[in-house]
Amino acid sequence: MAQARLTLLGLACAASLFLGTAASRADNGPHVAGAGIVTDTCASCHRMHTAQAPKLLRESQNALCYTCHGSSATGANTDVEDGIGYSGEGRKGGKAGALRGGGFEYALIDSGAASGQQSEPPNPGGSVPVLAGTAAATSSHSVDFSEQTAWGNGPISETANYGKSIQLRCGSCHDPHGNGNYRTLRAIPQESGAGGGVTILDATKYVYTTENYWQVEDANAPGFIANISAWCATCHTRYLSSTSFTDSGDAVFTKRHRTDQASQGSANCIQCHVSHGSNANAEQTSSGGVHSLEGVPAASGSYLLRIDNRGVCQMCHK
Amino acid sequence: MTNTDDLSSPVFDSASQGAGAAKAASGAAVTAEALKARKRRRRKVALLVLLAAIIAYLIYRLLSGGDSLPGISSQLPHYETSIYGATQPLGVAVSPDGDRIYVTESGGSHLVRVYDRSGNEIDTLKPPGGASARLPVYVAVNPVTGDVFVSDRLGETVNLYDEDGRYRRRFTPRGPLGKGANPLGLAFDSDGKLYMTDVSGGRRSHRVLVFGNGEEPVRKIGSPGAFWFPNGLAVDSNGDVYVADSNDGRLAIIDPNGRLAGSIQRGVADGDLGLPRGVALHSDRLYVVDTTAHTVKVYGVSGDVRKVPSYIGSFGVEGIEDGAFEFPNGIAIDGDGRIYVTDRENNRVQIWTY
Repeated sequence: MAQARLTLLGLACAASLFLGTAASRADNGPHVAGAGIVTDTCASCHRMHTAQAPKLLRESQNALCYTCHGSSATGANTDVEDGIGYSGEGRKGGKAGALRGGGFEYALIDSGAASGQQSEPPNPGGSVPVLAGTAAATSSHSVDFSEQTAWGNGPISETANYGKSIQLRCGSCHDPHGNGNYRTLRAIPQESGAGGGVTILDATKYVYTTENYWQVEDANAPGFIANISAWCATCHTRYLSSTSFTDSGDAVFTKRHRTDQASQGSANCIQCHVSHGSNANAEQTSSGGVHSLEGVPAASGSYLLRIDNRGVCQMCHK
Repeated sequence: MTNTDDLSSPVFDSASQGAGAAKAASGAAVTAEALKARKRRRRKVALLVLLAAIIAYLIYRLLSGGDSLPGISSQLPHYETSIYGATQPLGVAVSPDGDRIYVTESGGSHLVRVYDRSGNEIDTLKPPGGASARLPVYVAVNPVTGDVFVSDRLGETVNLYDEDGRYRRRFTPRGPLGKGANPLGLAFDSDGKLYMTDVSGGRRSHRVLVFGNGEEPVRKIGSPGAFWFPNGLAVDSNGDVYVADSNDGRLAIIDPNGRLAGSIQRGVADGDLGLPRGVALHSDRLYVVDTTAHTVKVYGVSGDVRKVPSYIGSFGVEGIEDGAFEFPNGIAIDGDGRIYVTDRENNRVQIWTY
């Protein structure tokens, strides 16, 4: 009898452990958090025997993501297609704002107005203001699973190697199940080939929108600005540099602008670029259709830059 | 067929009747037993024939999609045609006379496109300002006035048009209950009372607002956390509200007192839901658009919300062919029972009829 009671007690304790492991909220994704996991949560995205896409997904990954996070955002406060954030836990109510990462199809970067402020220092006086309405993206990290080049991916190479061809989806960079990382970023993005990952601890408060694209630091996530360049470099390996004075030994990425600084207004990836998509223009003679890399066909677009043409240079180098 | 005359007919021939009395008595007993056995066999055969007939009838009705069986109809609509022209359409509504079909487009020019019954575009609705400053989502028509209400996700408001499509004004929720609302789903009851899903703030503030004559809600439905991105909704003649509690994966049925009377839950069994978005009621049927199942699920409703809607079946499968959906979202039904479903990723509105 006593043994039976002990067994029951043990089972109860084990059950309580499972009941107590409800995932955390917000950046760990509504798919596993919020009200907690229930027995049918998995079925909202997965099928055991009749899946239509890899990872037993019932749909292609992006179509699933856009069903909530796409235009009009009928299932989330973040519309990554249009670059719009709506009032939600991450905002103090009020009107919709601009997503800090821009948008894949549209964005709200007032890059033209920013270009007119080139005489201002970037921090604190300069700003990349926000448009009232959306403008079509001129460049983006295409997540439509099309073939594209992960520029600078791989180790230093004495022979020309621009980077490998990859196919991006939302899940290449984000873990939909949540992982405790900032914005559910994967420590090692899929297909990056990186040997080690970069952890950026999740924020305690979530700020998805901005009124100034130049203000890239997230005060709620102090590890963000310190680690984001290293995270970008898990794919764009050879773009990460601590100096522009020495040769890297790479045939293509020989001398590189410093990108490793870890403070607001200094040289790091996120200071000049947005992560999802930009609507900045790059149509002037020296910027439009520029050959990004020697020997590579000219690419149109704005290279995810925050300001028209090469205004990001002049924000610092006045 | 078995009848009493048959059962009284002689069973044995006359030669057997010349035997002794005992033998005769014994023979009479045997004959009676034989008659009973024969009677039982005939009853069995009759029952089997009757059962087979019933089964055959049921199969015939099921396959033919014929008229109602006692209690519930198994008939499902069939695909008729599609209206093209709207980019990534989300919401749809029909004017009371059925002559104007309003479709919101979440892509392209972000317009509300208006079509006639034949699918010809006859008008477009838009508020003042450029396309970049609006994102129309759901649309509903006031059955009393004919006014058209369009929720605007980016504008965080509702734009109001008259029955001829002229822009009138913004309908902005006010007062202690309405201030700061972010409208999404819209529906009217038969008296012209507006019901709106509100997705402002975080999950705990998602709710349904009910309006009287003005822009100040007269009441709200849903305690904190009751809904999670409620999308479409519909109101029956009793004042019961059917809400697509989208991110919770369920259809919530709310009685006129605001209490949860029943629900259809998320799951993988027949009739279970995945990501419900659009909702419509017509006659004795409830229609729920399951966006990620790429289908419209049909349920029978009795008018008593304490009874869980009975699942009848679904129409539409995933794909790009006629009658197939890629992320359907909104639904509306006109007075004749024509069903309009927005087929978002196929950039069309499908029409299904009985």
